[in-house]
Amino acid sequence: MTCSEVRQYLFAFLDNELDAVLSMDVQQHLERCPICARECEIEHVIQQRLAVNLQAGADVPDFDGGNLDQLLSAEPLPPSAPAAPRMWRVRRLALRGALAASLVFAATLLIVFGTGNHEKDASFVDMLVDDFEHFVDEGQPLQVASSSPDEVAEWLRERTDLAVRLPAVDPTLGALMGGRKCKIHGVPAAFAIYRMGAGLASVVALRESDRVLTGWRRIERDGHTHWIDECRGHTILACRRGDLLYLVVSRLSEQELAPLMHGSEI
Amino acid sequence: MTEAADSFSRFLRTYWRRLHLVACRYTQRGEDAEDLVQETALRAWRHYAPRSDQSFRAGWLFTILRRVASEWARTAQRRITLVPVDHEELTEMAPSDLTEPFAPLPSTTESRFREFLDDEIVAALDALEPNYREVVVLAVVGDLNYREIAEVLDCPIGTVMSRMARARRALRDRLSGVAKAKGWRTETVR
Repeated sequence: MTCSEVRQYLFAFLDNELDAVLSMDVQQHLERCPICARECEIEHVIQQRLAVNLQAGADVPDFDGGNLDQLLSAEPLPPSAPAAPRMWRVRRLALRGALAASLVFAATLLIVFGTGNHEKDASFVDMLVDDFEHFVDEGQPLQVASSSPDEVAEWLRERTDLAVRLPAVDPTLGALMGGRKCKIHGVPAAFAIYRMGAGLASVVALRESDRVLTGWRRIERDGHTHWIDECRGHTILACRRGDLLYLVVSRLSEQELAPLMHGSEI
Repeated sequence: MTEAADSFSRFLRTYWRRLHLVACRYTQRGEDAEDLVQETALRAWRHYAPRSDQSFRAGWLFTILRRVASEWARTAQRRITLVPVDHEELTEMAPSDLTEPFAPLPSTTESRFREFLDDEIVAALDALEPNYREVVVLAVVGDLNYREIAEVLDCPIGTVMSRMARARRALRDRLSGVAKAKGWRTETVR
């Protein structure tokens, strides 16, 4: 084996990834070639120092069986699609294709009709719908499973530092399933999911009370102001309480979601 | 705790530290890394099947972590280390440059060589192209072998081998450049 061949195989040799024959050839070369042996030693030290420094700089929390208990007790959402990376990728590609087509269509509408006076933050709504689809279609698990709004809200308050309150709905119309913490645009948010009749609805709370809901349809109900928008077959309801913006996302209609907004905490 | 939960707990504990270390390199922030690992654990538990061959594999767990990191990056619109790569393009790159002499560095017998590495090596790693950095991180702190890395990256093992060699060479090039700039005496070996 020549020096140039050894250089080609040196990293795989150091990683114990060569088959026995090649490994022996490299080893024999290193024993008789001080130049390659020196390079091998340098690479070995580089790898060793890299491992030491990457581990030294990281603050890894202890594995806590207590935390895991809560994680394991959380009920996963039905339906459960088995992990299928390739199918998942196909779905994402299809989603991206649909999104691209929507953007082209939207751009065409803008060119034809102009923007008017209402410039809606479409990306925000789009992202909310993406998150909802992602959660429901891929059967994401809940971090806390309970039908008690107080219990779930308390869990979310402790972990998100948001003064979240969740609506209690008439049991004949729907029920809370649970919640999880999440991030939207890098901002901590609380996420809860309800089963309403035949469909699901998510309630997201985040500290963005100053977000302008221009272009949304405004309605007054029970003395409160709500905003409504639609995106890709989803209904999005919004309202402000305190310093929080609450958003309900669902494939259900506005009427079907009314129990979440009527006379409830939000 | 049920038998499945107990088994999962043991499985997760094995990779707990390594998951955090790799997640830290994806996010560059400990707090975000914790979120990524928690999400990874949740999804792993969601699909965990103790009797299945799919479970109990490091590659499976790190594949989930990588997917979570990718989604996190998309959602949070943060800088991230994952970039779609054309595997064909990478494998078709002529391997001739892998046989070229290495960039010069001080000898390991230099008394301050390790100190120099400790000062510079993480920055040199972070300066690598994302695809190169990732493969090194998965191997060095994820402690994954090439087969497992190929599973995580969903690419042939030959691609991992080639990319690993290029990544280590790029790391070496950067360290060599820094050493030269800092006035270290380096030797070119041919």
